[in-house]
Amino acid sequence: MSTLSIRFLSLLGFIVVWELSSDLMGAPRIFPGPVAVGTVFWVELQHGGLIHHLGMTMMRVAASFVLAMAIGTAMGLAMGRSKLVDVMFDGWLILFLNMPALVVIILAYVWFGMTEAAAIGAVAVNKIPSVIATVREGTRAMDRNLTEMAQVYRLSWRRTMSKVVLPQLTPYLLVSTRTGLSLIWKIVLVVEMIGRSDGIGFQIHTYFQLFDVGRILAYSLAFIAVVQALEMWVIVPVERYAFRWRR
Amino acid sequence: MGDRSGGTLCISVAAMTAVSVDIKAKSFVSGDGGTLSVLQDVQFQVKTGEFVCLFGPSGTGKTTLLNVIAGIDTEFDGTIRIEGSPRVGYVFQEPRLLPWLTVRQNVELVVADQPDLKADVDNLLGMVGLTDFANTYPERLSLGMARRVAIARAFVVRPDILLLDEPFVSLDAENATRLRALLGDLWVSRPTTTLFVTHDMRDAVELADRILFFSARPAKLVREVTIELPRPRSNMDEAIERLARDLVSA
Repeated sequence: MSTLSIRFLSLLGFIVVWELSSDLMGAPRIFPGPVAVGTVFWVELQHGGLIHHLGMTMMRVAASFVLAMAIGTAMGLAMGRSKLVDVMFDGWLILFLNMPALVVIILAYVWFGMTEAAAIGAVAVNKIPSVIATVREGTRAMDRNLTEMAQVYRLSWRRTMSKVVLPQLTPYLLVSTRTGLSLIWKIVLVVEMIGRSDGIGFQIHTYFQLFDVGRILAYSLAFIAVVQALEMWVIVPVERYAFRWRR
Repeated sequence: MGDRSGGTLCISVAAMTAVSVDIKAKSFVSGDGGTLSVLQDVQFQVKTGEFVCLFGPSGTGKTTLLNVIAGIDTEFDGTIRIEGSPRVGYVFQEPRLLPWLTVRQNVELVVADQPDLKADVDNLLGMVGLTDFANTYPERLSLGMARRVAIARAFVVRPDILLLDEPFVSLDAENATRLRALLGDLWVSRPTTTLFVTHDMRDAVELADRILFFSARPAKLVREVTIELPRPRSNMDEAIERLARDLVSA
């Protein structure tokens, strides 16, 4: 049996178990089965605001992700390369790594108001420390021999970055991307729940108050499907391209 | 010495000092916190266009000396003077190619900002016999081939000084011989001021104008021999072997 069919059968098994246990429990409002959730999903897709809310959430995820990766990579590189910078900011890093996401979000809203920028910034601040830690590790693991080669042949700063440094960091950046997407979207939901009037988090909060579990699940599944599609059609092809030189 | 000993122009060029090394001391901090002295009172000059071998037992600081001259290692007591811009071509002991760039891209990288030199990349790949592998990634190359790429990369920058650090080490005899002949030919067609580190006397005699003998650590200059054999030397096996034996036993 191919891995694809194993994957498919396993997923099918999960759906069957879900449907059966939902039927057994007999409380479709509190624990709806996959058929009920699928129906709700379809209705929301056609008549409800699923596309709009999904779009808003994705925009926030994308903005915080880009911000967190850019700042985290720059800081991680600086800390990995310079002992001085590392010593200076190591304490900060530990502080921010252990700061609860909820605290950052509340402080951002209190200090900067219930704005889009505060929401996106708060999510980015939650992700930056882990990007820094990963990229710093990657920078420390870089091959000094190649750095010396770049120095002897006087490669420009830009060329050293793009041809010598970043390719060595690629595996670390990919790890950051994978863990980052899943972490960021969860935090975005909290941000939307507390201080936004659209997005999946806002919808889930609304349906929580209405006790509409079917819609809560439908909205969650929509985003999971998007992330799965990103993994399949963006991250995996990028990875394959970045490592095409491997034997 | 072939055409290099001929006219007055050659003599006047050869008289110029290209590299002047004066290292009073160089040491490293060892694992237990003490200092490990690697170089002591190393003074010598290299003339423009001269091929000089640094000969001595392995692990005596010859690589450190090359790194100091290349400007990678700046923590030493003394001065290094190099005439010209100075552009350095360095063939490291490990080829140090970027695995994510093809053979051609690896060579092109170091002259990316110099279109006039970029045209030379394919010439050099041809001279080291790698035209067919120009689009291959380094992980698919043998060590000997990767070394040839590194040699092409060092020559393509038209170096004011070429540094080679045991480029034939861990190759089988046949490949080492081929690469030595290749380097000799390349050097004759593109005379370059060269410092070549080796612990193999045969390498030194076949390639060098002058051999500098170093002691065990801390490395000191103990002896200096000029090699008068005419070039090219690739088919003078007997004379080379004999001279190499004499020099080692002396």
